[in-house]
Amino acid sequence: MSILGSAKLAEENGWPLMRSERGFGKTAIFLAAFSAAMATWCFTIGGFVAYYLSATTGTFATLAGALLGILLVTLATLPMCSKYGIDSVIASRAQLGTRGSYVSLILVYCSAMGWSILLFIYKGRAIAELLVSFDIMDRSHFDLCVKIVGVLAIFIVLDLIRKGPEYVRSRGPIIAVVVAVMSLVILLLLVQRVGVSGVVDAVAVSPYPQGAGNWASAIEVLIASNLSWWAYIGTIVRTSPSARGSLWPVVIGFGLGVGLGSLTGLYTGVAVSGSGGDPTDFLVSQGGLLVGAVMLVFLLVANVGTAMMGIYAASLAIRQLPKADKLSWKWTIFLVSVPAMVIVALFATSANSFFSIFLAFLGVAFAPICGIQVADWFILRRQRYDVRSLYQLDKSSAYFYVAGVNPAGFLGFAAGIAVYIYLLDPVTYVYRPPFQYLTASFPSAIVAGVVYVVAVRVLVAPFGLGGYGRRTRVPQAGTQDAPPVGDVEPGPVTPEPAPARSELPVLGPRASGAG
Amino acid sequence: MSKSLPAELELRCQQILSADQQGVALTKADYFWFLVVTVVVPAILIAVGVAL
Repeated sequence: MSILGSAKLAEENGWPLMRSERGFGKTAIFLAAFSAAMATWCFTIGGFVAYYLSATTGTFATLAGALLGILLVTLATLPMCSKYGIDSVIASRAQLGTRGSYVSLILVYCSAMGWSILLFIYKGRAIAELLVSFDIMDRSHFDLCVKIVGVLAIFIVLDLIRKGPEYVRSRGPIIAVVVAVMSLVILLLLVQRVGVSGVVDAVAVSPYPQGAGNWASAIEVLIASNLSWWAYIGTIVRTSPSARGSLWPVVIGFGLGVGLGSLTGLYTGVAVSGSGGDPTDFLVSQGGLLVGAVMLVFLLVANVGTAMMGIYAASLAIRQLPKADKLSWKWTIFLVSVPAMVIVALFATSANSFFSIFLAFLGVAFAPICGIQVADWFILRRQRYDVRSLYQLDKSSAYFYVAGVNPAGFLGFAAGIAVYIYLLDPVTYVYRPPFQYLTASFPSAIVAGVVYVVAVRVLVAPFGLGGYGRRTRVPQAGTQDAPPVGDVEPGPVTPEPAPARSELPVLGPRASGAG
Repeated sequence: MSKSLPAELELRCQQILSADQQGVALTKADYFWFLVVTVVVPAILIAVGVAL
């Protein structure tokens, strides 16, 4: 351990990680990204695409949407999180303010729990289907069984999470393999049932009359789904020494992971009437009792593991709220899960209704945040943060703005939300032009970014708030963050005199294998 | 009046300003190929899909 303390402590507290402390290479980043993305929620995502497009056109839209989604969220997180070894929520303090960034925490909590709720509903369905298949329960009790099992599953997951973060993390790659095998078996069963032509010729479940609207809706599903990786990407790439080394593992692991995983849901959605991409019912009816039962057990194992990671991530986010860290870990994970129990009980029999609302939430919430972060990082701050101000939560922070909240950030955020809701009604899913040509997430992000830039220049920078126009004092010459000549305002942002290079402690090798 | 940060965090905030300690940044070529894969490729996929 150096004078800087252990890397593990820094990682868990969200403090900057030095390059020499970051142990994740390309393969580790890819595996972390792929195992997070490749979960059974992909079936629901693909099933949603099946409402709008057939298997053939849906395949193209799914892959295109996955890549477009990863464009936005990667630009908003990877450059800054990788540069400073910080996570996405900490990075958002520069745009939302030291207190305003609590909004980011709430969004991270909601997205992690939303995906987990979907998994709990799947778990309930899998158990109910097994009980019906083995004549243990009558199908008339199916819905009630899904609700009870879904809530019970939350308690089982809570018990497993108590074993700690390493136990949670180590499940990821296993789950990805399980889901990949399941996807292949489902595809084989599909081909066995309807043939390749049966899948290819199947039409969309409930398309709009206009083709462009169907394409935009299908692509929007994938964009919004990938925007929810906002927190995950920051957390993963800060453990890698190189943004260059993280870029393609993130694009392929998250982007194509979701895209390819969703294809199984798409094909199931169009070929199996009324499934919505959910294979639980179809697995037993087509695979027979033995294959169906084995696959449903696979589904349960995969969902338990993925839900563990979701609740773990949500709990970590909530513990960053003021005074939340005073709660014990047991109470934190329990209280974090209570809303999930209520929602699972309410939505257990209508997962698709829940998913449509959740999907709209992801787009509404994360598209504007991404637009604001991209505009701030690339246009206003010229790819530099005052790192100390990200952690200094009082008035001495450059990111304290007005009472800890950046009015420009919230103006941009509100503008982005308004644009999204105008283009795509999140409740009825009725769209307005030009949604069919632009989707809703991209215009929302762009408008949020533009409003943010204008608001900063009119409302924030002229009053000396936000550290705009200033450069952080650097500890030695010749560094990346050295101020350009003539571009420095009087008064350093960092109050302490910077030590000479020889006075700085030398960091040793990565102190732990935490990652 | 500013509250001081923990000493370890304070040092980390200073050290991370050094280019040697920061993550290796993306190059212009990285951004170019990234945009090709996430903008041009999707555009081609959509064009082909619509044409089918």
